[in-house]
Amino acid sequence: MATIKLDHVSVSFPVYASATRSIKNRLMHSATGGQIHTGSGTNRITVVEALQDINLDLKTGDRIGLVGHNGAGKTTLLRVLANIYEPNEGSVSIIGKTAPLFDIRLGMDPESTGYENILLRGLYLGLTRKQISAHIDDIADFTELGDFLDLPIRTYSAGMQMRLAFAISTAVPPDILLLDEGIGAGDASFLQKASERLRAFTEQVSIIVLSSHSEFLIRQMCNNALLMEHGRVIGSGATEDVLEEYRLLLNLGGERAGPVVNSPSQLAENTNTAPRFADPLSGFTTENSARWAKKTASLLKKKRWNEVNLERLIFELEQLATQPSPSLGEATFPSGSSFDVSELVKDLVKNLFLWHFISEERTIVNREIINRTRDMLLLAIDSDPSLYDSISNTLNDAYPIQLDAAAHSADIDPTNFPRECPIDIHKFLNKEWFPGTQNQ
Amino acid sequence: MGIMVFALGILYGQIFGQVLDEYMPFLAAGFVIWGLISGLILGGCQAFIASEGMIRQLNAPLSIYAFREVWTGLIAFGHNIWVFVVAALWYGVTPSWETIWLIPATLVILINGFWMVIFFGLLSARFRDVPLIVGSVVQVLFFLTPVIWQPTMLPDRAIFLELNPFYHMVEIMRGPLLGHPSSWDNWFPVILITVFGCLIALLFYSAYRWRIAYWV
Repeated sequence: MATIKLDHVSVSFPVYASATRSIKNRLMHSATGGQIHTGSGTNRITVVEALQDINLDLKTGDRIGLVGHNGAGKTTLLRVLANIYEPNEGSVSIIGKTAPLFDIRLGMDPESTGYENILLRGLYLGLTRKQISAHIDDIADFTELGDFLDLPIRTYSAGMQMRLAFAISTAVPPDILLLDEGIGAGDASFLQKASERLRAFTEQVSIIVLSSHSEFLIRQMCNNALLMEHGRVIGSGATEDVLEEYRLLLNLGGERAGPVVNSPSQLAENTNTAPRFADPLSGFTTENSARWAKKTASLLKKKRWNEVNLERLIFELEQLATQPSPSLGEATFPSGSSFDVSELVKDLVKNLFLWHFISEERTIVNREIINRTRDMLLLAIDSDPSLYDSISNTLNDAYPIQLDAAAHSADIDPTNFPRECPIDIHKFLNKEWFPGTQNQ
Repeated sequence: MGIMVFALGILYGQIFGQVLDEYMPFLAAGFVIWGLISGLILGGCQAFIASEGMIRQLNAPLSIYAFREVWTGLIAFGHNIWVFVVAALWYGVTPSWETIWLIPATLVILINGFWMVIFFGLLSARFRDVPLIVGSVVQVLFFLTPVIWQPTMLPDRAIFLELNPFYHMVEIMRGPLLGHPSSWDNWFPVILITVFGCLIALLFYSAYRWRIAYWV
């Protein structure tokens, strides 16, 4: 059982100007006796209030996304959670093994062989030698590097190093995972495999705190989010609400208007009432919700009551009630209603455009989101073939709108693209097809 | 290091009018020991600064960076000691039972190295001119400490020799290497330094440890 509790935590940074970093100057000054610093020029010690009065109460099952501008304090908060920064004020209590994965290549030695680096990186991650040797075959298999693992890793290509780093970092799940901008991994052919492993890995983690600028990533991984600005938490709650507020904040050019979703002091109650998965052991994860729903439905039909995960069923039903408009990846399943499906299609079109236009969006996670949406659509068609036509229509309707929107955000001239949807629904739902990607 | 010891040995042996049979092993031992001590101090200054990336990304205890520095020093010492071994074999220095004292002496020096790494590492992380100052001071200390000259060359035992902690540190290791009996006159100051050094470093460390991540 992992918990994180932050109580009125504040962190301030001394930023030393050059002269204040000199012990000689310091001693000279004290020798001349109580000089008054003018607080200007190179004698200044600026104190930056990186975090102010942060309250946080996280329990097993929480997946928290941190959003906010650059310099809003997201990384500092992660470092506090990782026990790297001890706060000036307030108390931090963290139960559970914490793994900060800020740079998955940290601690790899270019002169050592692949196998030696597995050991080295594993030790840096806080694993024991026993744990590492238990996982070494699994890691070696996953990297597909074979005999290369006996060579020093400076001989590896960047992609190979990334594979190795990724494989080691995701070998043993910690209780608490802290991520800055997610985990990336290597080349396209490796992406599929990596995303499966990443999913299995994150499913076993009790608490995830993820800081990212990517809404996709946050929406994909998190069930709750915190909006930060100037070192304060200015909003918290369900991912969608917070992302909406963040968008509002961005559009207003950093000036805040409108009601705050929650004040920081209310946060503790809020994380308790906001939707979240209650029990990690029953596999309450967004990833397999579609499969779970299908399985449960068939169990109910066959009247095999005692095999049904009742707790989860109740939870999912409550989710349906409290969340009338399900967002992508949430634990609701499109139960044949055409409204849900058309939303999914629009999302999918939008994501495919972003994939096409913005190369930074081509991440494993986005690939995963796209294919999960496809999965849900395929499942929907499976259960109700009549949806096929309505999906086709929605696709054609959504295409020009999303084209303009995506072209706008990527700064591309939309007139270079056909106004009619050039792809058919088979391609649209083909999980191997990604526009603009070479090896399809 | 071997070449330097050989060249300096010939040169200073001539200048000081020393018998090479005796002077060369003395110089080799002194150099190797001084290398260990000064390496620990100078490396210590960089212990936290150089690990900046690690410190800001890893929730490991900060003492591992100090242990790493001490371990590096020991490994380097393990390599350099062969310079002395060659000189000792060549000039026929015979080991005696006194040589056993090398083990506790090395251990004590490493413990001293540890507190010095912590102390200077902390100070350097906060004040960036400390490594430079320490560098010059160590340079001066090298000449003040009997490494290339022998204590017996001083007319009478000068007070500044007795007050130089590094003289005692070098001596507790060099004595056993050369097969001389170790002297309580050297051990006592070293133990005193060890205790006080550890205390001061511990105080500093517990007071400022949490600041290191902000400083580096």
